[in-house]
Amino acid sequence: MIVIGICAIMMIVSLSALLLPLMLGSGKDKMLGWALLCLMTIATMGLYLSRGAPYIPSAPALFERSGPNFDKRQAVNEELALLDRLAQKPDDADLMLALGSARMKNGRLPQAVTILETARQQKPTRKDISEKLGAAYYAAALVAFLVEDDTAQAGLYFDQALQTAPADAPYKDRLSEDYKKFQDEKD
Amino acid sequence: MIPELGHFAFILAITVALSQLHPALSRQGAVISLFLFALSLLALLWSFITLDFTVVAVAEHMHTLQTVMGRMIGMLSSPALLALLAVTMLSAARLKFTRVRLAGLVCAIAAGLVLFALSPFERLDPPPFDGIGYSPFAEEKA
Repeated sequence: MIVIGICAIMMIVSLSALLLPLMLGSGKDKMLGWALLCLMTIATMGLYLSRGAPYIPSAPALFERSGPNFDKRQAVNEELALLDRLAQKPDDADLMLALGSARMKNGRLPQAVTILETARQQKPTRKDISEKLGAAYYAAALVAFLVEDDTAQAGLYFDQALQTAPADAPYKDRLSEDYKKFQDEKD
Repeated sequence: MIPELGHFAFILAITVALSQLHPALSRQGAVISLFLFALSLLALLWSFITLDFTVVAVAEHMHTLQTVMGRMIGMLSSPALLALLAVTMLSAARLKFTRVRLAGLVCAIAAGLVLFALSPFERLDPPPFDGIGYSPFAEEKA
C-alpha cells in the first residue's frame, strides 16, 4: 500500500507540475490541459499494468494474456495456490502429485522430486505417483548430464528413475535408451 | 520497495517525455522527465548497491562473494543499468537542445525500447540466495 501511495503522489506531483499552467489557463488551453491529464494518466497506468505489477512478481498483469512473463507468472501462481491448499491438507497425495507436476513444468526438478517422494511414501501403491516421480528423476538426470555436465549426479538420478518408473510407463523405452547412451558416453 | 518506485518512475518518465511534443510543455516536460529518469536510475543503482537479488538485472550480474572491484565490474556489465544511464543522459542532452522538439519523442522511444526489451526492473520470485553473477570461487571449482 505504501508503494501504491508513493507512486500516486509521484504521478500527481509530476503531472500537476507539467500541466497546471495549461489547466489554469482559459478556453482551448484549459481543455487541452485536462485532456492531456486524462490521456497521460491512462497511458501511464496502461503501460505499468501491461508490464506487470513488479512488486508482486507472481501477479499477472491486467492486460497480459500471453508471452513468457505471463506464462511464468501463471505457473508461479499455480504453484503458490497448490502450496496453500497443501498447507490446509498436508497429507493429501493428490495435491502433492499436482504440486510435483507444477514444479516439473516450472523446471524446478529437485523440488519436484522431493514432493513426489513424499507423495510416494504416503501412497506407495499409486502407479500415477510412481510414474510422475520416475519422469521427474528422468528429467533431472537429463538436465544433470546434458546441461550441468554432472555425470555422478546424473547417474544417481538415472538409477532412481529406472527403479521408480513402472514397467508400462510411456517413457520407459526412451529412458532405457538414454541410460544406455549415458553409460556409453560416461565410459 | 525501491525497485517498484523506480519502475513506476521510469514508466511515468516515458509518458512525460512524450508530452514534450506539445510546444507549451516542451521545457517543463524535459525537466520533469529528466528528474524521473534520474530517479529510476538511482533506484536501480540502489538495488545494485544493496544487492537486491529480487531484481533480475542485479541477480544476473552480482554475487555476494564478489570483491568491491568485482561488484563494480558486475554493475558496469549490466545492459539494463547501462541502457538506463544512456536514456538519462539522452534526456539531459534534451535540455540543451530545446529547439529540437522531436528530441523528446526520440527519448521516449529509446526509453520504451529499454522498457520492453531489457525490463530493467523485472523481478525474481523466489530470489537466488547469493546471486547468480560471477563468483570468485567459480574458477577454483572448475
